[in-house]
Amino acid sequence: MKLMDENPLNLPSASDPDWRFASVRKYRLDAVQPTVDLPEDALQDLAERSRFLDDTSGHAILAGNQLSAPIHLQDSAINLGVSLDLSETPCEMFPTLGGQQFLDYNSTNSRTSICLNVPDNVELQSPILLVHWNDTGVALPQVQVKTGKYSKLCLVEIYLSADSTPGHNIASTQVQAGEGSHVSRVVVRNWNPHTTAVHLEKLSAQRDALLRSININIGGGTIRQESVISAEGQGADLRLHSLSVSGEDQEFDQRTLQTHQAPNSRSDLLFKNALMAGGRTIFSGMIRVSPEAQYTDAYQTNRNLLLDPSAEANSLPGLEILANDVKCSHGATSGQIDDEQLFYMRSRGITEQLARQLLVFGFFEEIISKIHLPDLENKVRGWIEERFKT
Amino acid sequence: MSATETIDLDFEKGNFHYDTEYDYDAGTGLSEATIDYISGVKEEDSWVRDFRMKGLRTFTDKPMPTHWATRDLDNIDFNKIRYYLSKGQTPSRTWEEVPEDVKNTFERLGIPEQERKFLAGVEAQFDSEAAYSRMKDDLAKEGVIFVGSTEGLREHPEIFRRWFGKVIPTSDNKFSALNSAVFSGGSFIYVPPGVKVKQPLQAYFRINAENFGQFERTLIIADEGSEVTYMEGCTAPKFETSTLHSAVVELVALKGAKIQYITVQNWSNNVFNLVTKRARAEEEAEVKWIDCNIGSRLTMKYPGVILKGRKARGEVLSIALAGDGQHQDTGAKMIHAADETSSNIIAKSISVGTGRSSYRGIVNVPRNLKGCKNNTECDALLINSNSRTDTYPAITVRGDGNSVQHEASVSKVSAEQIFYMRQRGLSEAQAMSLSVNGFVNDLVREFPMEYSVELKRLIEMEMEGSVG
Repeated sequence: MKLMDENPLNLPSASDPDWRFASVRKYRLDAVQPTVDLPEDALQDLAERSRFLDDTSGHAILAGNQLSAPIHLQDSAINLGVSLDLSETPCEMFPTLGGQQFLDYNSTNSRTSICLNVPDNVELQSPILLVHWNDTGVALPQVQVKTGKYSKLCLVEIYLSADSTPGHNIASTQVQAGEGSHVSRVVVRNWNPHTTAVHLEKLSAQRDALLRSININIGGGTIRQESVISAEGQGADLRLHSLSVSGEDQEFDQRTLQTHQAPNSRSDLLFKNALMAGGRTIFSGMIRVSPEAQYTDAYQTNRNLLLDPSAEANSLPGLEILANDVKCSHGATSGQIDDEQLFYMRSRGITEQLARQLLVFGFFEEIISKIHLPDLENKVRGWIEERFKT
Repeated sequence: MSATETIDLDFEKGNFHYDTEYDYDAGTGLSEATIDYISGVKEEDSWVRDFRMKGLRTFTDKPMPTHWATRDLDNIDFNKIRYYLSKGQTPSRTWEEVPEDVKNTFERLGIPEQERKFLAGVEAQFDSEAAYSRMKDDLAKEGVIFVGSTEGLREHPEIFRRWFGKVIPTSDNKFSALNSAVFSGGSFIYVPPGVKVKQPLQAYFRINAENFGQFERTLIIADEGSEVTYMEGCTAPKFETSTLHSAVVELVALKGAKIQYITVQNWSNNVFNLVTKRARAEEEAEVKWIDCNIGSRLTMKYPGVILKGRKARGEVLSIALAGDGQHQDTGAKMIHAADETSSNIIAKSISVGTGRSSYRGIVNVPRNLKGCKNNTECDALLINSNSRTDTYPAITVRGDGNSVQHEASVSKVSAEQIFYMRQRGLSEAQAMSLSVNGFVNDLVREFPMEYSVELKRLIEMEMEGSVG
């Protein structure tokens, strides 16, 4: 891809408050190798490695900036009018939380914009799976999802590295949940340690829609995620959950904004971070309630579990409230494994190592159990266990 | 109900000013000549003058912090401000010597009365210089020094120079630099080892002249094992043009010392109140900031404690009330720098009308510390539908031996509570007032008695006409 030289990426200034605590310079693209188109057998191999779910309504597998196989959609879904294809029109722009340069870069240069539409009243029984394999160079995936009235969709996005070469990933996702629809989305990021990534997403819910989004961040180097969730209709309900496991040389930088523009809407955010030796996390959350969004319930919680003296957790939980009849709260805690709980288990004959493991995995389970897809839940548990072994 | 009587008080209290003839006036605008003038009038040593000049350079170099703070700061015209006004240098020692018109001002604010009753010492600042300064003899005998900043630097440099500008360096922020350049007045207090000052020391600051900036500098040093409580109150009459108050307050609590610093401010709503307050707590020392902000156009104030010694403790209790058109941007900073240090922040804010209250905080626990604890609670109450509140905390925790918790909530006075009280014969306004007082009650109780009564009345006053 030669585009990179023509559209240089201007990094934000390190003193930009939107990038507080972040290692801005690590997002530089200078040393990046150009993306190469993979040979047929390598593409086929990646498609083989992408069978993470037994039962899907359809899937798209991307390698770098190309499709590894034609997009597949079950006949039953096609008959219902569901569409899943590469879009010609780029993702609509949306407000970012400091990563505007990255969104511009993604939107000018992306060649792979996956577009998923679910018509009114259609309920998909099994999930749609999108797998993005990162290779050398900058992968620039886009995902655009629209659900019609009273429809139902489960979407799984998995981001992985094809091998151990350094890679970059700048992605944008936009989900618009139509009136009364139920959308449940799971994003798993498990790259190799030499990957830097910026993910920008905007999730919006119309009247009475329920939109759940679960982020599982396991592998990667310097990763930034920006999520704007927006309650645009009365009675909209948005839930944003995240679990990140950060270790040596890893920085997970998550910025969120919960906006409420309509009355009687609800949003709930729970971000949990486990920090091993050398791990670093940043959570910056904001709840913004417009004057017209009376009777809003908005909650924001950040829990950091520090497992090593060299770990560092940063929290910036924020509120901006302009309506007066609302219930809003945020909480942030940073701590370690509770000695009393450890003592309780040890007094019942469980070894210290096992007890610690149980407590740490218990901390994760609150998020993992929200996935509601047993085979993916097990896959995620396996990946996390692997992460702890290294 | 007796409630109606308590609301019946002097609403214009503090809103008066006298035409005072000033003996010394540095004119408007800020330049090296202004510094020379102030330094000359005060007959300062050359190191103080150098310190001021450095402050001026830093102030000119530093940009306005509007990349994170409100743009309202750009409305301050530094060239229109008068940086030094004074009626003479030596603070009067007896009440009788104080000039009549200045005395009238303080009489209205009730200072001599309070002094007679229970105060150990009074330092009243009228514009730039302390007009009245006296301390109970027995305190002086014990070696307690309670003087104005000018006198402190002149008479006791061996004590004050060591810590002066050390807790808050000149370059800390634009306004601390401004204060370093033109500071005048404020209190310098030294409490010798083991001395426990039982009565609170009190100072009162008042802006009298239009367009005047007040830049007092306070330094309190509590030597090993000593204890002291300091109270300050601030007011300004309502002028057409805005006034600037930019103080620097440094506290040093040496090993095992305890300092409690209480502020009640009720600036008129055209005052920019931009204050830097910070304390340094050595081993097992305890510093408590109790801060109440009512009034002013914009207040930016984040009292902080640097927990430098093992088992040091820092606390900030703050109440902010943002009335119509006001912005209270307050918060706290807790910098943990030793093992087993603990800190506690409790902030409550009330926004009335178009008022906006913000909480901004920093909690920092660096690597390799063990057993550090922080607890932060911020509660905001919104009264009207156009009121606003924000919370912007920043928390950094490193290492696995520390725990930090932060919690914030936003609510309004519940309709059920109001209904319950109205059923029992209270008017809506009374019910609202009672509810609001209930919201801040557990913090108000931390204030000395006469302050907490005053505070409740001030809140009632601000709440007037906001309901219905």
